[in-house]
Amino acid sequence: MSVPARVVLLAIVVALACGCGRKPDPLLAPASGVVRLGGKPLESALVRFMPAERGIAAEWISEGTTDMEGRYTLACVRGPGAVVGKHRVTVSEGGVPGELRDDQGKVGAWLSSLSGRPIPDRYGTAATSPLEVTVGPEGAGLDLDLDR
Amino acid sequence: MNVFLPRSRHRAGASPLPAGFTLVELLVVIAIIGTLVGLLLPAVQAAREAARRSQCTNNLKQIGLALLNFHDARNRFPPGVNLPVGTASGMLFPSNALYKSGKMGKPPFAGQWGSWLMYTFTMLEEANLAAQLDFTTREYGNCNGPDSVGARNVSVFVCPSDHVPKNPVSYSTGGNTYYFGVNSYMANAGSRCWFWANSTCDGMFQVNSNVRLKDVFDGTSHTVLVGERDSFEPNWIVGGEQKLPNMRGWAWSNFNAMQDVLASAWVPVNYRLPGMVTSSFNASTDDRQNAFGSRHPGGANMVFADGSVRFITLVDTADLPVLQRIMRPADGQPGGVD
Repeated sequence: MSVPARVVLLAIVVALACGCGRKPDPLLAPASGVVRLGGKPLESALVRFMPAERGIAAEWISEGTTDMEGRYTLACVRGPGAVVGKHRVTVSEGGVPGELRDDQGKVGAWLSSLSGRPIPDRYGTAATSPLEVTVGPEGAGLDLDLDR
Repeated sequence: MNVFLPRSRHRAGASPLPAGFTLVELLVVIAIIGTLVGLLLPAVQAAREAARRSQCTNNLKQIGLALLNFHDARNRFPPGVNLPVGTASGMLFPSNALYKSGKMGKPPFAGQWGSWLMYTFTMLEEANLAAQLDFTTREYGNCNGPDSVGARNVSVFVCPSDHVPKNPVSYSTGGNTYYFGVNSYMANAGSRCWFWANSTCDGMFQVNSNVRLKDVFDGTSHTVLVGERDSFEPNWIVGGEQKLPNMRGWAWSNFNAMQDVLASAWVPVNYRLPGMVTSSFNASTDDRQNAFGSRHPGGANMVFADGSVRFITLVDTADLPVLQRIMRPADGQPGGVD
């Protein structure tokens, strides 16, 4: 094969290969911590880490629900942990037990049985939450301190 | 001279050419036509989708104008869902946490049941439909048969690209079956709408909402009124069929009707369930049910409070703050979208 023909062939192969391959998936790191509201652990709250970098789909949003001591562990549908990098974080009311869902009164009683309610609205939406957390590659304890 | 030689078209002075093509010629022609059609087909499909998208844009424009005309007539937007306060089935309970905290109030139309879609009929030249509707009963009074008024197909409520396997859809409870005309469009209930106990109540519509244009501090061109929901969800199968297309109906009017006529910005536009779900509900289907989205590639149409319809492409997690800002009429943070 002549030299110009090889160059042309190589150019075509390179051009075609550029179209292949996807953006690599973001890295996940283990992430957990404690949520406190006014210094007291906040139970049964939904903690949500939304990656702030562009080009990341909703399946990489990590969530966790706090236990009685305010502890949460994050996971997204792609695996345990949270995406390494900057996140916007919200803390809001968690899920309602399925068997209560049909009864507004029972849901109300259950909500008012929880400590530290109501959770201040500004922590509940990405538009207003002041919480921004960076998850490092090793993962870490990510404690969140909220105030009224 | 050999008289047995076959006649060849190349032989000089031969008799006229034989009619017809060889097999190879035919195959080459078919291959060329096939290639050309193959090149053309995506363009044709794209043109068809563009036509459907512009019809959807027109539907939303009509709905937006109807809501603004309603505002002109009554000096307020219709409630997302109008419900009496009381302890009968489907009412807003006085013991409800959102009622007690003041996030949901008394109904703007006392003693009535109705969704925002039902209140726009008089402004959509569907006054005869509005006249047949009984607003003094919850949806079951209007939807008790496939020919009942609540089962009517209202074309301006359906996006031509939306997944509509059945219209009306049906719902069975207590031995009765009720029928609902479908809606592709959901009103903006803010950052989060469903499950109701987690509702942020920070949008333009909610149970017994009563929003006026003067409450839209962020500006009418920065605040969404109504958007589309994509009902195609192959990852949510219950009883052998997709669950989501059946979870809607413009006539729904009870405390759970938020899931049928309202939507929110808890997940980015065009969110799809990432894994198969076969139960009636769980945390991820709650998010999916009220997600704005469409089958138009790359985004969804929304009508803003200034009457403009825009194609919103906020599909990343990083877009969520902006998406929520354009849902919130008065948070002092007008979201910038073109």
